[in-house]
Parts: sequence; structure tokens; C-alpha cells
Amino acid sequence: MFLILSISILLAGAAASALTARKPGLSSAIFNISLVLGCLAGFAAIMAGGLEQASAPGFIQAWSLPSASLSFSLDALSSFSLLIILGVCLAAGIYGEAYIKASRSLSRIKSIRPLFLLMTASLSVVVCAQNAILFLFAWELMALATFFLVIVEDEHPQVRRAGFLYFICTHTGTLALLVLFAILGRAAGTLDFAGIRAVMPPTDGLSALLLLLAFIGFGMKAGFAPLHIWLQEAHPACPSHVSAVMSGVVIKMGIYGFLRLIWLLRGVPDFWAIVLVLAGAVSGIGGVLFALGQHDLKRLLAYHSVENIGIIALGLGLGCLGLSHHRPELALLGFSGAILHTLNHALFKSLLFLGSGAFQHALGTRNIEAGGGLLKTMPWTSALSLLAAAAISGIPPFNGFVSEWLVYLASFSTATVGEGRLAAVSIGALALIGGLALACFTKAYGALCLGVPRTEAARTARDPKPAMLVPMAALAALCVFIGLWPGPVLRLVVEAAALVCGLPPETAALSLAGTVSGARLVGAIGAGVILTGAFLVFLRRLLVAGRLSSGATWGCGFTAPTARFQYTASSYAMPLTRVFSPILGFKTEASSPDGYWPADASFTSHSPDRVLDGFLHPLGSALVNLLARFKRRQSGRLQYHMLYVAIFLLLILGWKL
Amino acid sequence: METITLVLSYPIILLLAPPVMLGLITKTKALVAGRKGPPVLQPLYDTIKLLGKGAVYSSTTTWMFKLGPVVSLAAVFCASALAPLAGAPLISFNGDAILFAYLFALGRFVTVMAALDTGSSFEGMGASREVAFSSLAEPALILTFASLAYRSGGLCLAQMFAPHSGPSAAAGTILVLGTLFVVLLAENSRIPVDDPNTHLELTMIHEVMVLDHGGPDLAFILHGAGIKLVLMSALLVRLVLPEMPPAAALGSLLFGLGCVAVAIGLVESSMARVRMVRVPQLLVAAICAATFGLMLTLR
Repeated sequence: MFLILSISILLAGAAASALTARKPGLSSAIFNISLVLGCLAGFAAIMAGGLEQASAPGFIQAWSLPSASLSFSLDALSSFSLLIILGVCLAAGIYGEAYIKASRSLSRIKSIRPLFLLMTASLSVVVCAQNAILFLFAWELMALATFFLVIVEDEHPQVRRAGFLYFICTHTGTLALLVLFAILGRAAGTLDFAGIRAVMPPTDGLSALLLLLAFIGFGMKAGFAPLHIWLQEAHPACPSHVSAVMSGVVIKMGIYGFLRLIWLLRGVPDFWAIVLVLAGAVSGIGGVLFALGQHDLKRLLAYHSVENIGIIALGLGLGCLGLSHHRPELALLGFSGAILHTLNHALFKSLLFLGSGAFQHALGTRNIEAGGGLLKTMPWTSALSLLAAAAISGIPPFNGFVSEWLVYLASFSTATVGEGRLAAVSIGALALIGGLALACFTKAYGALCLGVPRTEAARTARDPKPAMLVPMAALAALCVFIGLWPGPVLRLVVEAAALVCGLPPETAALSLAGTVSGARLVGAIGAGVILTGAFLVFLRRLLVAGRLSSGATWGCGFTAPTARFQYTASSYAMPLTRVFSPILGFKTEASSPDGYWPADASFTSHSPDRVLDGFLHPLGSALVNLLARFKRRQSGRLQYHMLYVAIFLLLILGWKL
Repeated sequence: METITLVLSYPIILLLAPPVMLGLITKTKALVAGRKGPPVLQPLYDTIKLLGKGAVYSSTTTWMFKLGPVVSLAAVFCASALAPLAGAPLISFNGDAILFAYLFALGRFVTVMAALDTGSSFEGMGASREVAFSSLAEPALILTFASLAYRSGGLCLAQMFAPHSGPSAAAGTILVLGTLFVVLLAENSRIPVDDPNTHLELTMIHEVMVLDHGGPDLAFILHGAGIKLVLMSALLVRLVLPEMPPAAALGSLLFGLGCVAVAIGLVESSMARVRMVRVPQLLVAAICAATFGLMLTLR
């Protein structure tokens, strides 16, 4: 019941804040109250569902649409996803209020608050829907709400372009999902999820088609390479708190969709696993490589979403492998890794996007080369972003490591089902992703927050208001908490994974007991690192005994260094971008200084997206050129067009004869 | 008796072995070059001297710069609890091998961040090279771990590096030894990847990242690097040692560490470092060898 209350509060808040949009103060108050109350009611619903253990009876109401019903319920997977949605939306929404007020251009836009609440409500409905029509309805609502949030700053041409691209991609995906659910509904005779799951016949003949449709529909939303094309355009276009929700939650709906579909089908054939593992490896390595080539902070973070979706896809694929080979332990490990990484990525990526918003406001640009030394001028934002950067690099003692560790364990278990090649692909990919992610985040963080300020804006930057810092601190605290004490979260994750595998939660908990206690030890060793570090700090203080002095950084004998002497982010990434240049297609344009008194010299580098800029745009323009030839036939004269109609009719007549 | 040996083994391995190994490498190189060389314990004297000094910090730096040395040393200390040294490791569970590898990544992360904190061009250059090369060394290390894990049936360092018999294991072991040795040279900044004795900042990798550290901080960094060398060498040694009682195990481990140090010294005396642009090729070759070893085990 709390669930319906939560969704109603959010929807009512959306309507009320839209009606009062002319009075920003009132609209803001309504936004805050309905967001907080809605999220609290949602948390209460999750708690109530957890207490009853079995899936809550849910809420079912007839709906006038054919074969549709308004049926909501919270099983383990839904409640876990709802937890992610509400947690991130609450933090991002509170941050967003302060963020909007701090920006002159955003505070003039009235649609952000209602759309944000609408997005939160539709996301909640997506994960709680137990009927395909309701699911698709909510899915479409979510797509539209996010589309309008992407284009709020539509005075910039690149924002309109990104919005259009997102619109095309999301609707291509929805089209695939319509067909997918139509096929399922036809085979099962009902569109209720429980009904489909109960009577679904084995889909051996159809499963290739189902995978293709799911890959387009859910994979497009999640951002599996090569369908990720909208991510790196749309994430930088929207306001930062919306980017946080887009990257942290909206793309995870694709992962939720996959898990729900696997639950519906109760079993998947072998090749699903192969496709998902390969897609995961390609997305993971490709995402992090393209991230290395970026200078725009939000574009870099968007490519990292592709990378993390890749890690999640690896877990999903390994889980599918376990299902198809009837190895419940492997299935549980794979799905647990994927589900936990979904949560972890939601936490640290939304934290990074919220941080990027603060940096963007302070610097006036998203270019990381314009930063420098922000750890001194914006200590809190920088310190919190450091935690997120370490977590996303998959370093212990943070949460990112725990989920990557689970996916590693799943990969190693793969050998027991005789799929050595998949194991090698997934382990190699994970290791490479880990190393490259570390390189990429040291690059971005080093250029932005460390060293000497490179611009005047960086020198005068200040931390944002506490209303923006507190949500970030909460997300950071969760990252550290899960890293040090993964037990409680793992219990929820294992329950959700057990649901996907169709196992009772007790059996699942028993079969993963060893892994969970291993995860506790991982957390304990993380705590050990912190304690040892603290001891060493104490030891150093004793040894130094106050003999502290300050000097300038060693400049190899040069005594008047400037900020421009620092290593730039581009040069930092150069060794790696050069090694991987066949994949990246890294482009540089340089005009070197010449003559005795060189005047101008410049150097720019950029790495365009391989799929979008390297394939789809040329393909699109080739198609347009081809079709332009037919344009000549379109003279606009009525006589000609009537002639065409007549010829066409004659042709049909001839064919019929 | 066994417990006493085990308890005694940790201070010896973690406090004494690192400087002695570094000293042995230097001594070997000196002897090969026909010089007398500094005493074997010279690195230990250096560390003690550094610990007695005060600290100088650049005015550019923040707490990040001070965090680097302590966290990197703490990370290798905790990694040593997972590694099988003279006996069974202190803490052992399925999946500890991954944690072991990632604790080194934690050390690298903070060292690189501390280097970037100085705002020095040279330290940025070193950090850039360090992350580039280590992101290629990491797959080689983890794929090697994978093939050992499949052979022993568990992703647990104690099992993976336990003695393993059978002729089919020999080919795999040789590949693993080769890959691990290359990774060891790369991760511990030895020739042919990096030259610890170079005097030109432009050509350094690891050394240049710690240019601005001094006093106890530098001592922490040097000792941490030494422990990392000892831990990775100990894994190599454990791979070829048979099962034996703790006292003998400690003795043979220390002897083995000495042999690895001499081997590193001989490698450093016999070849020059490769050009920077060639280093990725060397590491990719190591990745290929590791993948081949994995395939051999999985067959």
C-alpha cells in the first residue's frame, strides 16, 4: 500500500509543482516535500515487503486497455531496484534544488521540477509493474520525461542534437520491446508477468529472436556497445543532477529489463551467455578506452557508464551461463555480481556527476584541462569526488571492488562448466578494465583537483552550499560502507539473484555462504588498510617530531615554473591512447611553431565515437545522398504525381493479372 | 615451535628481507661490472637514516601528498597477510588472489595521486607512464593467477602456490614462472622496463613519481616498494618449492629470495632498458604468454 502512496505522492507533486511553476519558491517547496515524502513512503514499502519475506500481495486493479491491468508488486528484484531508484533520486533531487538556484540559466526553466518528479515516479512504476502493458506505459513515460529533461537547455544546438539522438534511440528500443512482449504474450496467452512466467512454454525456436529484441530494447537503454551511441551525447547535455539519475538509474532499467526477462523465461539457452559476455567485454574495454580520450568531464563519465555496464553485462552473461548449464552457484554468483554492481555504479557514478556539476559551476566549463588545484579551493567536493573516483576504479576498500570481485569469482567458476574461452575473455577483460579505469580516473582527477590552478576560475573556485554537499556526502558514505561492510547489502543482492534464478532465498544464501564470508574478509582487510595507515600517520608524526618545513616543488633546477608547465590530461593519457590508437582513432591537429619568431602554435586532440561519428554519420549521409537522386523526381507538379499514381496502379493491375 | 617460527618469519620477511634483496641486486650488478659495490645492508642504513630526518613539503601539495606514502605502505603490509610466505598465509579465502592484486592497485592509485599533487611536469610524466604500463601488466598478472587457480581448483593464493606435481603441470608452470618474472620486473620498476639507477628525470618512471618525497615519507615509499618486490618474488619461489616444515620453509624461502635477487641483478647487468615505446610490446607479450598458459591449463 505504501508503494501506491509513494507513486501517488510523486505524481501529485509533479502536477502541483507544474501548476505553481510561476512561483519558484512555492514550486520548490512542493518539490522538496513531495520528493522526500514519496521516497520515504517508497522506503517504507520496501521495508514492509522485506518484513513479510514472501513477495508482497501487491495491488491489482482492472484497466480499460485490452489485456492490461494496473498490477504492482514488490518482489526481491523490484524492491532492490526501487531502493536504488529512490536513493539516487532523493540525493540528486535535493542536490538539484540547490543546483538550479545557483545557476541563472537553469533557474529560469520551469519544467525541471515536475519532470524530475515524473521521472522518479515512472522509474518506480517500471520496476514494480507486473503487467507488460503497464511496464511499457511506464517505460515510455520514463523515456519522455528524461527526453524533456535532456533538452531543458535547448538554446544550445548540441543539446538539441543530443536530445534528438536520444529520442530516436529510446524509441527504437521501445519498438523492439513492443514486439518482444507481443511475442511473449502470444506464446503465453496473457500479458501479466506472473502468468507469462507460469505458462511460458520453452522458447527454443524463438530465443534467438527474443535475445535480439531484448538486446536492442534493453541494451539500447543500458548502453551496451555498439548501441551506446546516445549516452555520451545525452549525459553532458542535461543538468548535472539529471545526468546523475540518467547514468545512475535510467540506464540500469535496461539491466533490470534483462533480469526480469530471464525471470520470465525461467531458463535461457547457451548462446545468450556468449552474446552477453562478448557484449560486456566490448562495452567494458571500449568504454574505458574512449573515456581515456575525452577532455569533457561529463562525456568522460558517460563513457565510463558504458564501461560499467560492460562489467554488469559480464556478470549477467556468466549468470545466464550458470542457468543454461544448471549450475545454480555460478548463476547466483554472476547475477549477484551484476546486481551489486548496478547498485555500486548508481552510487559512485551519481556522486561523480553531482561533483561534476559543482566543478562545472565553479569553472564555467566542463573541460578538465581548465581545472587544477581544486582540492585546495573546493576541498569538500574534491574529497568526496576522490572517494567516488577510487570506488569506480575498483580499488579496495570501496564498494566497486566488492562487485568486481564477485564477477571475478563468477568468471573463475565458469571453468567448471567447461567454458574456458568465455572465462579467459571475461577475466582478461576485467583485468584490463581495472587497470585502464585507474589510469583514466587518475587522469581526470589529477587534472581537475591536483597540482596548481591552470585558470583564474580554478583559482577563485569555492565549494558549493551545504545543500549540495550533504547529498554527495551521503552517497560517498554508502560507497565506503558497502566497501567495508558488504554483509547487509549482499543479503539483499543474493535474495534478488535467487529470484532471477528461481531458487528459494534460503538455498541461495546457503550456496553463497562461503562467498559472503569472503566478502566480509575483503571488507575486514580494507579496514585493516585504514587502521595500518592511521598507525603509520601516527608513526610519521612521532618520527618527524615537528621538524616540518615548506618549499617549492622540485623543478629540476628551473626556478620559475608556471601552472602551464604541468602535465596536461591529454599528455597523461598519451601512452595509452597511442597504444590503442587503432581502436580509438585518436585524431590530433597541430600547427607547430616555425620561423625565428614563432607567433601562433596550437594543438588539439579528440577521439570521436567510433560507432556514431565513424559509422552511423557516414552511413546516414551516404543514404541521404543516394535518396537525393530520387528527389529530382519530386518536382512538386501535380500532373507528375498523378502520373506516378497511375503508373503504380497499372503496375499492380499487371501484377494481379 | 611451528607457531614461533611463523611469528618470527614475519618481521624477518617484512622488515629485513626487502632492504637485503635490494642490496643483493646492487651487489650482483657491482660484481658483474667488476666493482666492489656498497654493502648489502646499505638500503637498510639508508632507510634508517631517512626515518630520522624531518619532512619538507612543497607548498603546492595538500593532504593527498602525505596520504600517498602511508596508504601505499599499509596496502602492501595488508597484502602480505594474504600471501603464503614461510607457511600458510594469515588470512585465506576463496578470491583472495584478486584482493592481493588489487591492493597493489590501491598503492599505485595513491602514489600516482600524490605525484600529481605536486604539480610537477616530471612527476606527471612518471605517473602517466606508471599507469600506462601497469594497466598492461595487470591483465598478465591476473591471467597468470587464473591459470594457477584452475590448476588448483580455487582462487586462493595458499592453494594456487602450493606444490603441484604431475608432468602436465610442468609446461604450465614454466609459462607462469616466465610471465610472473616479467610482471615482477615491470611492477617493481626494474630493467628492462625502468632503470632504478637512472639520474635523468626524463627517463624515470617510478623514481620520478617520488622526487618530492623526503624523510620518513621516502623511507615508507622505499620500504613499501621493497616489500612489494619481496612478496612477488616469494610467490615465484613458492611455486617451485616442495612442501616442507616451517623452519626449513623459512630458510628455503629466504634462500629463494636471494636467488631471485641475483637473477634480477644478472638481468639488469646483461641488458639495457628497452625504449619507452617498446615497453607495451613486452607487456603484451607477457599477456599473450599468460593467455597461452591459461589455455594450456583449461585444455
